[in-house]
Amino acid sequence: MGKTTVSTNLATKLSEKFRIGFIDLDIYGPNAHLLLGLPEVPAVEQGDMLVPPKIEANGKEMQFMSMAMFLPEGVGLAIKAEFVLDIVKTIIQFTRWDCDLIVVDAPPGSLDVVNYTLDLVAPRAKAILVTEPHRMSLSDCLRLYDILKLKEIELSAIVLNKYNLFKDAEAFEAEVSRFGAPIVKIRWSEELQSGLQPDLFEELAEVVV
Amino acid sequence: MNPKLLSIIPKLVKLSLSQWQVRRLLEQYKGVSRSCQLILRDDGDETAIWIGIEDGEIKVKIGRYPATNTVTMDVDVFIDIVKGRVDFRTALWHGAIQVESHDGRPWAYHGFLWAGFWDMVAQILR
Repeated sequence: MGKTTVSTNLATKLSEKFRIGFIDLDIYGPNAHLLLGLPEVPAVEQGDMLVPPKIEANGKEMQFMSMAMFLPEGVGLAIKAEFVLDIVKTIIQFTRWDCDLIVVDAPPGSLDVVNYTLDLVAPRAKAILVTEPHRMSLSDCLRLYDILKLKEIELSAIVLNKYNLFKDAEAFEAEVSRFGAPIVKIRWSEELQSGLQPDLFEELAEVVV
Repeated sequence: MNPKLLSIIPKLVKLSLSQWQVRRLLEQYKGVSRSCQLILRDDGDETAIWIGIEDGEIKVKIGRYPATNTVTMDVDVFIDIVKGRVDFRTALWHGAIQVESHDGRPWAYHGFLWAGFWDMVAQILR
């Protein structure tokens, strides 16, 4: 659906005005580092917490945590859900994030790990629902919106990714407009395939902050 | 001490000769105090090694002592890691290494730190 593209570009855009932390919580398939790069030093301990290393994206520093830092490229992860929850807990609760905002690239779907993550961040988090505007993704959106309501997490924006590629995009937009959150349309473009394009996410940055 | 561990002596010598790189590694641990109990298993035998990092200095003792976490693996896995044949991180996440936390923090917390540490050691030994 483009969660990684949206979250990495949004974080990079926001880093122009805020001190940003970025968490790639796609534990089984981290990809954000392909756009943001990997830190040169590992996470270290300070006091009783981990200190996330920094990366530089678009000339600005960002704190960064990703399973990609702890797993060689090309190695698959075949671990139980309970281990994944332990990893999520470490990254969210046992890491000293020294920043104004944390952008989280959430795991896909509505698995245990998503529910657990939402429970951990619920008191202070806002959500951005990233979707492609076609029939197949509508039921996913409805389900996720329902979970957000259940967890009392504010939906701050709906991103209709690759808006220009789908002929029923307008009908989809009408459906999700009843969620009451601002809708931001991102067009598919060649530029977005070649790397970070934070300026294309200016509208989203303005809507969510 | 398990006699199989004699095979890693050349690597340990290399590590001790790479002083500048080791110093750079340990700089990351300035002001840090942590300890680990390493348990190496081999056909019912067990070698216990205590590793402590105190303000950028490493201390190693043979035997069991209080530690914030215990790392357990087969002696062959440990030898393969030191010799660069197995990646610590891969072995950790695939269950060849078990990390147990004794300080209330998640085991992944200690796993992350050791993964980072061994990755740097592996770079020195490469």
